[in-house]
Amino acid sequence: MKKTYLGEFEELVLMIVGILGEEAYGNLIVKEIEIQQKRTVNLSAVHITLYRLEDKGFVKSKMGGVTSTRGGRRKRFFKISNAGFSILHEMQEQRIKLWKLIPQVSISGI
Amino acid sequence: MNSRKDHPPALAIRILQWFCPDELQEGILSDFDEQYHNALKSNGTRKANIKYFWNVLRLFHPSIFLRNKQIHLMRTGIIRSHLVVATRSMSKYKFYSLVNIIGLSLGVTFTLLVFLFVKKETGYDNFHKNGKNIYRVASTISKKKTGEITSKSAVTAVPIGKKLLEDVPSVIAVTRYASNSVTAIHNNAPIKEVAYFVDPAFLEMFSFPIIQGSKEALLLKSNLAISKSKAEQYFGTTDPIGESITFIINDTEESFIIQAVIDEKREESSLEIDFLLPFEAYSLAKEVIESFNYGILENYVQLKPGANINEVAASCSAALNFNIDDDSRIDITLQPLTDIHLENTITGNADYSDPMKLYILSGLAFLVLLVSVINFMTLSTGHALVRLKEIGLRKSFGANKRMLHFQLIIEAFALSFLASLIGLAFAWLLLPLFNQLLNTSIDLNLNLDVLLFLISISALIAIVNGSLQALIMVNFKVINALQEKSSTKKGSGLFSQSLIVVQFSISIILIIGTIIIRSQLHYIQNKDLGFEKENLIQMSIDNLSNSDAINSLIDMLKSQYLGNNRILFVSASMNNSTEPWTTLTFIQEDGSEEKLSYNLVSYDYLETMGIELVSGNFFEQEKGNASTDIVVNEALVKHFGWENPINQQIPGRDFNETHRIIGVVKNFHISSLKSKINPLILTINEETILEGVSGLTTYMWPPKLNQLYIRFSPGEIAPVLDLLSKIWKESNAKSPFEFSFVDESVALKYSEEKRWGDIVNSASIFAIFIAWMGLVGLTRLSVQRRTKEIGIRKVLGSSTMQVASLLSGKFLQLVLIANIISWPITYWIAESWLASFMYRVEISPLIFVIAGLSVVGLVTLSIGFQSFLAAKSNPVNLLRYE
Repeated sequence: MKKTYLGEFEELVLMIVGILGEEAYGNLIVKEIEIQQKRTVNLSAVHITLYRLEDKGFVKSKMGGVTSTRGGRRKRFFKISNAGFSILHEMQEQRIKLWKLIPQVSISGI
Repeated sequence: MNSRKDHPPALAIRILQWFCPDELQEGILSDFDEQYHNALKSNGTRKANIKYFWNVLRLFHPSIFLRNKQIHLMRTGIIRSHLVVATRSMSKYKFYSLVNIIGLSLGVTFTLLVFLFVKKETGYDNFHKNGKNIYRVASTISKKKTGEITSKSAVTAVPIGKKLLEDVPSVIAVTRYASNSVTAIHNNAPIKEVAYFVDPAFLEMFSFPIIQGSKEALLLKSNLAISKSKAEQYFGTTDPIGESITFIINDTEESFIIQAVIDEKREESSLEIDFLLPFEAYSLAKEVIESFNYGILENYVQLKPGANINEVAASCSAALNFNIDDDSRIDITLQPLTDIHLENTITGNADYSDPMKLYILSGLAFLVLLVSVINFMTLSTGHALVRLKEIGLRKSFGANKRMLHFQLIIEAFALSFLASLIGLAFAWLLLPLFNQLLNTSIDLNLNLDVLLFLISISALIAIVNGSLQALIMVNFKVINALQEKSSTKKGSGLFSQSLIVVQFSISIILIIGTIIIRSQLHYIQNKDLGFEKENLIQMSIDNLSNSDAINSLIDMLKSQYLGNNRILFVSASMNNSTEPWTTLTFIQEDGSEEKLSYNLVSYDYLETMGIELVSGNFFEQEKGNASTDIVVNEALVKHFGWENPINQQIPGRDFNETHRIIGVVKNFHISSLKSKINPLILTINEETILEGVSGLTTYMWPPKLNQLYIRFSPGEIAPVLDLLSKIWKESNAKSPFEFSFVDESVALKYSEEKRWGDIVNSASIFAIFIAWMGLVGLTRLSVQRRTKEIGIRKVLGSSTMQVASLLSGKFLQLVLIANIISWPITYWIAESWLASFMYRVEISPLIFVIAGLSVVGLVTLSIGFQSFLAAKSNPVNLLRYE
């Protein structure tokens, strides 16, 4: 059985795309990661990851309409696919399952 | 070019468009633009541009550029065609290409190795997070009245750090860093180690990675933090938390519990941290701990980010000159942590290296590279003429100058990149040798730096060389080119000839340099030192503060050792042959200061060391010397200008009949020949001279006998060592049995010179080999070009010898000119290097002649052989060539 795994960064980007719904595009994702995670990521790294996710079928993309802003370049918008949603779900369950297996020792010493 | 201010850099967009698949471009660019405009508003144009470029660079990722349906990263068609032509011409002229590539790759090898070394040396102490704000305190102490500087050092007084933390607001953390040799006791065996005493803030300020334990490891007096390698050495694990080690620190024995294991980053850190102990464990006298006058340790301060160093240093100086009555003043300078490794003027205990080394090495690398690039240039321009027909044809089909230029650069790049890769392979092979040569440990990893270095060096070579070729060839008239009339302008011939002269001048300079360094080294290693360094062992004994205890230990060891017939003499001394000797300072009768060398010795010192007595007597146990007796050397007698030194007293204001001279010994060297022989006083009892002395410097405190010298008869060494070690262990000595052979430790003093000899030697081998290869290639080319001429000459009756000398005469001339140019340059360099030695060889003209002749010989041999072959061939074969 072949199974696709997601890297940490891929998972993060996918989640953010999920959060942003229909409106996700590269720069907004960078900003959202900064807000949610206090973590500065490189725009190109996000792009590279998005195309990789698209190859794996976890996101879908389409070009936006012509904008009135400078340059007039259209944005590429990303949207999470059903496959993307289900792999996130699955990873979440796996993680909770594993978390429960950790002996619940006192961690007050930290 | 688009120069409007609110537009992202056009070049970056072009680069992106070049590698990014079309269908992705718009989406990516729109995002980039948006970020660019945001950055423009908040950070300004420069930062925004940098960020934009960085974005483009980061996008250059396989998952992006491999997405292209067809790789059109370059004008691949034409480039591929150029590469095909390049390969064809390379394989057609195999010999020429081989010489060219090997010569270049050797140049790249040497440069790459030096690059790695320089990168390592300049990268020290960069891993600390607070590194930019950490400084070492260095002090300059001068006399208020005269302004005379009495000391300049980064070894400073114990309470300075605390005082600065209290008085200077920009200083936010301080730590002391003191090193002291201690004896560690592990599994009941004593081991000599160096321990470092620091404040708890040490682990906070510096970012040594903590493998086990916590940063609070040094809070308690009985705690210890240990380096990874020492943890492995002592406990065979990196997790010995809770284990304990006992140390003997200045007589007192104490045991410490390991609370942390730290990665010592040996290859990147100037600070050594094998055993970090709390400062309280450093048993120093109260007086020393509180005084601002004794330089004992290094003080490190951490400043607030953004503090102005000059201002902070000034307020530090102000804080420390609180005692106005003091007749000396302190000036503080702050040395950035990251500069300490290459700081060699004001030094402390931390390990440092000479920045000169980097300059010299880079210079050598540059020379070797220059030789190999010249090689490439002369060979390719020479070779280019062979390809004139091709150029002519291309021209007549409409190629313009720019296209031809581009072709030549692409070819040169292909060649130089190939050479770089081979150079990389050579570097990898030679790395162990190079590491050994420089006493370093460089790794050759294929990281970004190395790749960038290789690519940029190939690009540089290609552009220089391709342009030059283009200059020569492209300007040819088509008709001449097609007829292969190599009637070059005289200018270019002169140009390549002067390049050859430069090449050989560099080689000759390096060869003569090697010979001179070697002969100086040979001279200082074999010069009579005034004592017999062979068959002499030196060992350090326990550092006890009680004189009687030391004397009885020495007497006991001596009588035991002398029981063996291999051991001839045994005696003790305060100073050894590795450290600088003790200096005595006292006030002359006229009030001026005088400095003399001093050593405390025991009976039989002269016999043990093999030093000659010139007049009078040496101390003898049987005679029962008066405690006022001293022995001096000839330099001292000369210094005071005495006719008859016996029974004289050293003039000094505070010496009251406390001593008299009983004997004079011949001058002998104590360390390397770089320093001259100072006036020296020997006594058998330290009280004899210490009364009336105003100052004393020594590397070991207190000034007691702590070295044992053993003279043994020549022969097998192992039994002698066994005996020494056996008796040592039976003597209940606390320190481990440690010894060295005096001749070896003297040789060690010259290891730096030896290293330089080896380095210049290897550079000159590289240079001469490359230059020689180039010359072989050139001769071959000129023979090829003049085939017809040779044939005609032979038909008309020239002898083989005449033709051979015709062919090689030109090159010999050039080599002779190179000799004449390089001699004065080398002479000047060698003179300035030798000036740093007190005892040096004179530069013999013979060296120049030998070096010159050997190069001439080499050239004649290789050229002559080829010319001879060409000249010997049958004219019929030569003339048929059409």
